[in-house]
Amino acid sequence: MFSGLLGKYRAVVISIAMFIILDAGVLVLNFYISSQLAEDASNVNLAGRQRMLSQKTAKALLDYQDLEVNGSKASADASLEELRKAVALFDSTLNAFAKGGDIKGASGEQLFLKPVSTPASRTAVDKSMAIWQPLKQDFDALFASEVGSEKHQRLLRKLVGEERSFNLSLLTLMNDLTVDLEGVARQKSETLRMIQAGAITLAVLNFLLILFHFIGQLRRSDAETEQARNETAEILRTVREGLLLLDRDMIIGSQYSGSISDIFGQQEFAGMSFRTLLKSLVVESDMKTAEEYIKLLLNGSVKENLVVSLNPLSDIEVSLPDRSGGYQVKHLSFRFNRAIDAGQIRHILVTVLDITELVALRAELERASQNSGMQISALKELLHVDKEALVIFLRESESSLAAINDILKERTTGAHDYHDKIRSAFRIMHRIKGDASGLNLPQIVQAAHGFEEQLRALEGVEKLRGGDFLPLTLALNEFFRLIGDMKDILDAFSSPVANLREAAKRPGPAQLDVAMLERLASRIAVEQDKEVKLVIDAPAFDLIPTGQRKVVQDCIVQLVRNSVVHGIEPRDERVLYGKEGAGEIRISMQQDNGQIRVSVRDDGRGISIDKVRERAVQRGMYSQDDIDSMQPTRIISLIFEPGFSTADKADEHSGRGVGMDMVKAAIQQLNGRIRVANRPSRYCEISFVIPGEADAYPVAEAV
Amino acid sequence: MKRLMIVDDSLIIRRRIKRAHGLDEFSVVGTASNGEEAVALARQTAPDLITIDLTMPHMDGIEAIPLLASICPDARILVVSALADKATAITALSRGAHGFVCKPFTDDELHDALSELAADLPAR
Repeated sequence: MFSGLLGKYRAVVISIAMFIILDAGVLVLNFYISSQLAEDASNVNLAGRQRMLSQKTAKALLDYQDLEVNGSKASADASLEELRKAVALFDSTLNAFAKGGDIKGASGEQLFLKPVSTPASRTAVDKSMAIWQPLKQDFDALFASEVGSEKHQRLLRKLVGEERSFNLSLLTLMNDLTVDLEGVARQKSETLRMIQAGAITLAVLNFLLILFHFIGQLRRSDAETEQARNETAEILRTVREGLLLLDRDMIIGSQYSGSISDIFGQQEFAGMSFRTLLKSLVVESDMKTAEEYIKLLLNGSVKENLVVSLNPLSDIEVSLPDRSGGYQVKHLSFRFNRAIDAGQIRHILVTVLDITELVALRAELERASQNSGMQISALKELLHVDKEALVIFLRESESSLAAINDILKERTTGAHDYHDKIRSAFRIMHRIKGDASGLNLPQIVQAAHGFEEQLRALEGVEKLRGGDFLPLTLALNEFFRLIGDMKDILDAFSSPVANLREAAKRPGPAQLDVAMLERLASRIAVEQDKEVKLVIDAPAFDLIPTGQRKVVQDCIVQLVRNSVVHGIEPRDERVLYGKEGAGEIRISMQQDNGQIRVSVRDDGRGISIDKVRERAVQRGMYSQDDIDSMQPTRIISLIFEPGFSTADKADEHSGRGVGMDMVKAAIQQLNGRIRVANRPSRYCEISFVIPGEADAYPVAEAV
Repeated sequence: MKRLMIVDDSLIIRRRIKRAHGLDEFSVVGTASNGEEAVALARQTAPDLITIDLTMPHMDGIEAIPLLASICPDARILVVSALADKATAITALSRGAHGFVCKPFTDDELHDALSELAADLPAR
């Protein structure tokens, strides 16, 4: 961390260190030169004293010569003493100037004098020594000789003479020394001033360096901060996600992304409580849960990624104000993340995403994948189906659906008409269902069944209006699409396609589709947990006019279905009645006097007249009185009336009472008649007679 | 070896957790089928880690978690439950649990969750 700091502030630290070193150096130099200056000053003083002493010696010598002769003994002694001192001081000082040594300072203190070093001083000192040394010897001899003696007198005269000749030289030399030492001192103080000026200049430069460095760095870091701030603002402005920070009290921070305003509307969020924001979006209990969840995240001992799945706001549907002032339903996804700083959970980062489009897309994808699921299973179904029959079925179904569409679109005047519409549509759809069931196309069967359910729901509505039929139109379109898809698949997988197209043009099947009937019977039987075998004797099918064969086959399909569902009993019940376990359904077709007689006979429980009575009253078809007055044959004919059903619950095979009224309507169209032969507990045979190829019968009343 | 206690009313889930792969670093010191048993067992075994279901007879997870947290204050508690209701799970966690794993879970999910919680345990 320290090295990091040093790294960042290296320049500053070095500058400051230099500043300190520089200052310390100047200080040391100052001390040194100051002491030198003091020394020089004392040297100058001493040199001055020498100059003075040279004169004093001369004067003292002359005074002594005078006093020695004319003065009192005391004054002569004092004068001699003064001379002695002056000589001794001059000598010691001059010697010290020459070789260095301890001397007595101006105020009597002891100090060490270094030998002079400059050439001028040296010359002056050396010359002085040359003059002084002989003089000194004479002075010493004088001081050693007895006062008043001849020797003393002679030495005194000699010295006075020498002094006269050398005094001026000595004075000049001492003056030279003084001047030179003064020069040295001046030069040194000059140097000191230079050094001080230089050091101060350097220090100032250093200071300026530091200053500029700091200012530069500050400006740079300010610029960087500014740039970072701008970048942050830019990010917050453009990021699609709504971003905001919550503190530990769930207060929204000052920085949040612009999308927050896009999502929640224009207002100030900084400082607002997150609760306030949520309050308008979710119910109280959800808000509490969200709050608890955020508290969990603020609790450091709870593992953040082990509670993500509990986020209660990961996908919520909310109503939000839109730009036009209204409200808009949106899907929002909130995400919460810990913002950790220095090991502490300081904030919760909230990310808000508008996932409305995503949710819509997801729904679309689901639909698409269901659709593709349809295609695959439809494809599987198609692989097992007789292609010719399928082509015919698809073509006919399309026209049937078109017919239903026409019926639904037709203008109607009253509720009665609406109910007629429903019944007509029901009949047509029921036939499609029967065919699809026969071809083993469960998807179509299911779609048809679903459509029937919708019709049935409408039937129960008392005051029908045009708008009630809208959902039907949608369902019908879906159905159209389903048939269209199947055609596409068929086209894609059939080769050559042209053959099939041709086959589709053929008006009707050449033979009764025995295989289809058997499949149908056994499939329904299995579903009903019954056993059934089909006996088919249909030599006369090709006598039926080609245009009618399909209708006849449809009727047979319906009758066989009716037999399996309503006629044939479960195995146990049959065994109880002493019958074979498997029920038998016999389809026969005979030509008789140019007419074709088709019959479907089962050996089941027959039609219970009582049950039919009961049912007809229950369903409100007739009053109890009407029923009571009816003959048994009339009662049985009720099963062909619209809306009759004796099965207890509606499944796709029966129970709508439509199949039989469709048969009746179809036979009537073919100018045929229906007959019912019934023996309760033993059998039921429903047969119809239609005109053969040659001529058409006149319209006859059925039953 | 971290000491693991499993609390779930379903025998199948208890076995499922016990036998999950990759849990070799944990030793199962006890299993309990409801909150009451869990509290008693926790006193005896002092587990480091506890997995606990929320819906259980006698005493459910919501009630048991604060008791377990006070009996073994250092233990890390992992709620392993079906995510029927987020609010209930959040309440459970706020009462002293430390993580949540949703049923059904994979061995890896369980192992990762337990390891993450074990990392927070004080060294012994």
